[in-house]
Amino acid sequence: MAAPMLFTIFLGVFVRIVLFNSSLASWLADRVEVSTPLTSWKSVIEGITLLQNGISPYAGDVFHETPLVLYFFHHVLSVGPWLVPTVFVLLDLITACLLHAGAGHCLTYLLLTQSKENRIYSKDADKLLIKRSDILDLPRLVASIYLLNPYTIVTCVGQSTIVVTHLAVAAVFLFTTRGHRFAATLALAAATYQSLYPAMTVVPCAMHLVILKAQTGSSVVSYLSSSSIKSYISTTVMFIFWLGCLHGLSFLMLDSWDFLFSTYGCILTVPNLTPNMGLFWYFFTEMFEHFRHFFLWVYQINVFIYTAPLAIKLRKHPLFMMYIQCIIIAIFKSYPAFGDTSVYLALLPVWSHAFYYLRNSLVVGVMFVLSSILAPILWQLWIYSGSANANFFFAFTLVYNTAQIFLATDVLYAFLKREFALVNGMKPTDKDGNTQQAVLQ
Amino acid sequence: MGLMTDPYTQAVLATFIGRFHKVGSLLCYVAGVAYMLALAYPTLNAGTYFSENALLPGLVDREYADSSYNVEQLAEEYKKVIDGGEGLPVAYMETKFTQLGLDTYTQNFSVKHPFLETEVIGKRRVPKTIQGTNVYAILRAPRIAGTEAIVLMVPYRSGKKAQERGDTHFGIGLMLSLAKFFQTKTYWSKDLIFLVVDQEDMGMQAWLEAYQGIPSDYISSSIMQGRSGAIMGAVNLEVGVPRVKRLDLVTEGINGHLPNLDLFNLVVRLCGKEGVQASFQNQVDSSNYHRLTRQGYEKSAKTMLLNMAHQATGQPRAIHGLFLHYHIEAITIRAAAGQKSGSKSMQVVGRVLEGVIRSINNLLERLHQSFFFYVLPNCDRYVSIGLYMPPFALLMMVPLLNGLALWIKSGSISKSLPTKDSGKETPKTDSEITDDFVPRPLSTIMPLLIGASVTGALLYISPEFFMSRLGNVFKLTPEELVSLGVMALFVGGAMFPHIIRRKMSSPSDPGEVAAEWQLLKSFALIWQAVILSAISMMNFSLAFFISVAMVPISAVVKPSSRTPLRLLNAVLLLLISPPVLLFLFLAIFNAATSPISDGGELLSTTLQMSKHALYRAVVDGYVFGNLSYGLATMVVFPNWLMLWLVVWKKV
Repeated sequence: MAAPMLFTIFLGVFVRIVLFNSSLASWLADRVEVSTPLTSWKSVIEGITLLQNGISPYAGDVFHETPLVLYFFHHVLSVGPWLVPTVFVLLDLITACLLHAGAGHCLTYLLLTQSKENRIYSKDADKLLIKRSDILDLPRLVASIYLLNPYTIVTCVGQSTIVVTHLAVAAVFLFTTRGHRFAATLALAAATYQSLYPAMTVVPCAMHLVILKAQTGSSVVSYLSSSSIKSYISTTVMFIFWLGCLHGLSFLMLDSWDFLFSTYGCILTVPNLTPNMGLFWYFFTEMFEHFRHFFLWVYQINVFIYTAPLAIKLRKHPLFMMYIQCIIIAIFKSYPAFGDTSVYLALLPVWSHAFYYLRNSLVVGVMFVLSSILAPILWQLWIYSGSANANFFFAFTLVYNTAQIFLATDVLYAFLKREFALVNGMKPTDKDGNTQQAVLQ
Repeated sequence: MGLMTDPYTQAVLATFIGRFHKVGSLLCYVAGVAYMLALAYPTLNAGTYFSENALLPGLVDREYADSSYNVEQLAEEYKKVIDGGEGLPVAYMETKFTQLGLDTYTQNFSVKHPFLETEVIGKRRVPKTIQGTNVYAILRAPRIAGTEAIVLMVPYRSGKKAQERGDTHFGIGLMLSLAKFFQTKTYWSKDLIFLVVDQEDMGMQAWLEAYQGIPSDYISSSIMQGRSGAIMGAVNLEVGVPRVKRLDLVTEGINGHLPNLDLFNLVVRLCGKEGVQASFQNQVDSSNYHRLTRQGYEKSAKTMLLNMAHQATGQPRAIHGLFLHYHIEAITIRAAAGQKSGSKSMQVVGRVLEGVIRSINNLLERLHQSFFFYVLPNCDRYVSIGLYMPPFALLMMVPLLNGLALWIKSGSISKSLPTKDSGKETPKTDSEITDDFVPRPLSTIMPLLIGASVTGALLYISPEFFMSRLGNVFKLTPEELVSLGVMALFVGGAMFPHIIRRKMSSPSDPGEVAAEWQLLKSFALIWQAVILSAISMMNFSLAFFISVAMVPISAVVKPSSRTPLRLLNAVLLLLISPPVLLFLFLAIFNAATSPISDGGELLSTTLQMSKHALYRAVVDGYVFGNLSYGLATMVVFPNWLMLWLVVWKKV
């Protein structure tokens, strides 16, 4: 790693340490934008206290953290409270390293594919090609963005346990690009174990593993050949096996299955309607009780349903599909927070070869900034001053989520347009040499 | 999604913005200001109404009669006591309240200066503190277990202060008399707290913090012996005359908080019932018909602008304003003196207060319906947030349009030909669209933006960090020290472009140079729109006035290669720098309201006022949680600095 990278790491750690030692840390830990009922540090403390007193942490309605993370932080705290910030900073650092490596491998893979397909590319598409220097530069940018992104920093300093999920998701990305089925499924199982929704990334993960296998055998990729199906099955089985192991381990630790209802039950049935940056709370507070089940199904299926169309449209690009899924999870999950953006914002530069076609970067940026500034202000006015009300706050969570949706669609369209332009040229012409307009359907 | 993804539509939109942003922003600005002013016209705003039905002001049967509770005698007696003694007559007030059979308590407090810890008197250094004693008495509600309370308070004033801000001894008399009257009634379902506040807002803050158990760094007070429940409403009474011409209502609280409009309506309605005139901003309402005429409109507009000016200061206009910080609805009722004939006696004021307090007593939950965000052109008309936001949004279009136009420009400059796009006729033909993607010089801009913000943060902490150490060196009063210090640091901050000039290697290509300042200005303008919208949610009037001044100048300034032009730009920009803005606003306010006609005197008064305002803003930030200084230094100043950097960019 070069000197600028070291400087970035130093800066990232320095900012975190300074903030940890300021009064901002406890303020951030209480912010609804930063910590959700699932991830707040306060509930971890509650769980640990209950555990120490010999009461099942899942007996009450406060604690929704998974047992392994509970025991992990229990041991961290038993060493000393000073260790907790260190652990959080370390988790962030490891995630940054994983993302750095993952981005590197991803770009190497993309470059490899590009050199293979180069002959079918149009001649005037040079601008859109991935450059060799990108393999060195972009991973550094990825790690720097992860370390210096304000959303990541506040999540770390607010001690939201979502950082554990980030670590797992970053590992999924890394090991999938490397083609390690064993490690990738383990990471996937860990991410699923932590927050359920990443389970859907098993689809791109399995697809990518098939592609990699076909590449090493230098045969044409076929998703329906028997070897591919075998590969899917082994990926899925391994994923389920790991997931079973993690849950079995949790069961052995607590000697009860209560935690399933407190963690996944809480994610799926959304009993806690504390306002957050997501779309669930407002809707479910307003709703008549007898519609609740119906809309729960609608909302939860909505998160997962994009997997199918994405898998069809992006069948050649499972890594990109995984990326889009990260954004979708951050938008539509039941308890989102600012922290959910950190992984996908960090990985954004990996797709910089498609940025030529980005249309709304300014709009998205301004919407992110606006909602991040105004949401806390309106929260203050609503909860403390009593002058604003829930609608004001919800308006800006809508802006925030719309920004994410714009970002997802923008990146997706840009990616698809680039794909088209690579083959058909940047300015497709008809026989007479007139510019044609391509319509995306 | 067509707009978001279709390159053709976007190209059309981009050319449209590029071509019409100047005309568009001029139109938006003029329309925004005109629209806002027009809102004072009756057909464009709405009539007030009661949203909270539980208040039931119509069902309150007012029974208070002065004859048996002689206010004047009590007031004169109190006046004699305060003229004879020094400070709030604690023992006297205690006796009076105890005689009425109320639970009477006192609270001692001392407020220390947040950062100028010591003061030099002669050769000795003594800690500078303000000390005082609040006296309060609680009438325990006979119908409920003291879980809620209503506060009626009167500030203690005597001597010079009373001359400046008006006497309050009739307020004390009325309060005692009302306490005696209320004591006989059985319908109270909320405790009544009668409070005499020492040291104006310091004492008020001390009492509120102690009552609610909020720890404070700068105010220490004795243990609160008696408490009641959560405070549902508070009325501050400032009456210094025996005969009342009209009652003036004061709403503006700290950080621009306003009480619920229902509370304001309530007082206005009860004044009407008792036949005493209510006024707002000391402006008496004209008749409904008269408001439609030009003079009537001018009067309404004046009332509205005065309301906005007072809100924009962010300082509580009376001590009730500190309650609003804690989600307690509160209002101040001030009496304007009247002649013997045609004026109202204390009995009428007492009956209005009785009605107000009994209505609040009827409440089942906190006032939450009605409006919290409003400006008032008359006592019975209001402009709500839904009405005043559109003109503000029009104002915000100016930086947004210009920022967008510059953003488009900064990305579409083809190398070495910076002024090509003026002759664009066919925007979608190939070369123009591909020019759209010149990588914008983001990396050179980011450090500047961060540097500007850090400078602002330094300016914010500077009073505490530097001046507490320099205070003893320069032998200045705290007021001079703070204002001079802030000005010095401001000038230092304004040197920022010169300090970094050497560090920044400027590119040789004119296209890139232009892209750099355009991008910087684009960010500065969009950031301006963001911060002003954010401020508008907290303190609309402040955001509006800042916008009116800043928006047009920020939109036009740009770097120039010719020195006179560059200086002109710099001078324009200096006009909207936070300290100059403060001075200008105060000058305009003084010119409009005070009777001083001499220009020089006006300027010197304004200068004094700005110095005082700056000092108050800094100190209030610590003691009362006033955000003005923080906003000015950490939000508005960095934005100004970004534009300042634009002006001094080499082209």
